[in-house]
Amino acid sequence: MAILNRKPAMPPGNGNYPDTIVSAGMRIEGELKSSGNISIDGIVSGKVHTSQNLEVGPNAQIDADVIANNAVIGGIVKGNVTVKNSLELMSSGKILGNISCASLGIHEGAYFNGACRMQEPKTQVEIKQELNQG
Amino acid sequence: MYFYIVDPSKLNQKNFERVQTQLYSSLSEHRISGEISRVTTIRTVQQLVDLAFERGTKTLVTVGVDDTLQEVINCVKGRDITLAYIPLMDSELSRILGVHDIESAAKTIAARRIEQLDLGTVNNNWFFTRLSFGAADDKNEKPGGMFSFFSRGAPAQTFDLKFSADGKFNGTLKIAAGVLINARDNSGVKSNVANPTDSVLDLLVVPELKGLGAKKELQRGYLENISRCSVFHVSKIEISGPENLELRAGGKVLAKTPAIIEVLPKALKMIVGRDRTF
Repeated sequence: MAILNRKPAMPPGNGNYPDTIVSAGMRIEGELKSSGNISIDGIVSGKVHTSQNLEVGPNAQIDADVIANNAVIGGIVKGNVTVKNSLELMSSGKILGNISCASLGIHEGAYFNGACRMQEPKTQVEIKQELNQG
Repeated sequence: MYFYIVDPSKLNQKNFERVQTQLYSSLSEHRISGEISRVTTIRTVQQLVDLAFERGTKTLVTVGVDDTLQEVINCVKGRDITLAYIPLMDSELSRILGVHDIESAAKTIAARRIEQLDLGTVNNNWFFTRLSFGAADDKNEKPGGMFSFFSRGAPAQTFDLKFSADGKFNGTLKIAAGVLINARDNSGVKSNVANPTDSVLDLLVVPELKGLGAKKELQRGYLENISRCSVFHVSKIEISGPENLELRAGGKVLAKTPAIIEVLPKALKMIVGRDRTF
């Protein structure tokens, strides 16, 4: 886990699938699912699921469980956040729910209230063993 | 094997004779000659399409403008045939399909590069490019002039859009303009939106159109460049509100809300050129 003071760079998504954008003022209820990146600045309740990257803007309000490959949270998320790789919680971000991720970064000023479960980082020995087996 | 539907309605007599000569020459040169029928007041596009099927045609070629091709697509409606397009002038569909003029189109038809493309459908009407509503209506494109110069900068009227997508989520937003895109001229633009082979329709809506920049992007058809544009990708969408909102394709009203619009994946077999924009 890292305490951060810089804006993170979102890894590039799979360019084959177009982005889904929920702009400020848009209200979505239900299951928002995409094979491409999702960017949310509006209000979403239900479920959010992408196999790529999720970006939650500072004005966004999400009342839903969230599943993504990577995520940057700048708004409010009330729900469980499950991220396969990297989760960054910005200084304006709030997560009220449980987190599951491989890598976690929290900016100063962020708010998080829930349980955090992280994939245990591999040691150098384990990495070498995997490479030899491969 | 080839059946040509020629619509000369946008040409004067002199230009039509020139076009006809060039057409016969190109078809002969590329060995794709066939039966040629001209659209008239007593022989409609529907009648000519039905005639083509009666003849056992394998490739139906539209020679005309984008409206003609759109009408042919609507008349074919799911029947098994390969379509092709010879544009009489530069247009959006000619750029999308990669056919620029009579000679290049004839060469393309001879090459027979066939793609299976998606179509959109609403109220048993089929469309290939887009359905527009609100300020994105084609009818709202104003000609030049001093009044239109000032009016282009004025904010557009807004309305409450309500929709349900794929039976999975509902959306509400006050918008000024919206469009459901199946295909678009993406020449010179790097975009994942408006691919007619991706089996989805792209819904783009904007809450406001302030300033000449936004109106310019609206007229160009790139709503995603306008601030606060929302983008969704759907197979089926029901627009339930507001009521009686006109959904237009090519300037014609195809339906009014409430309406269900869905994609027909790979419903259109089309001969396309190398320069196609998808």
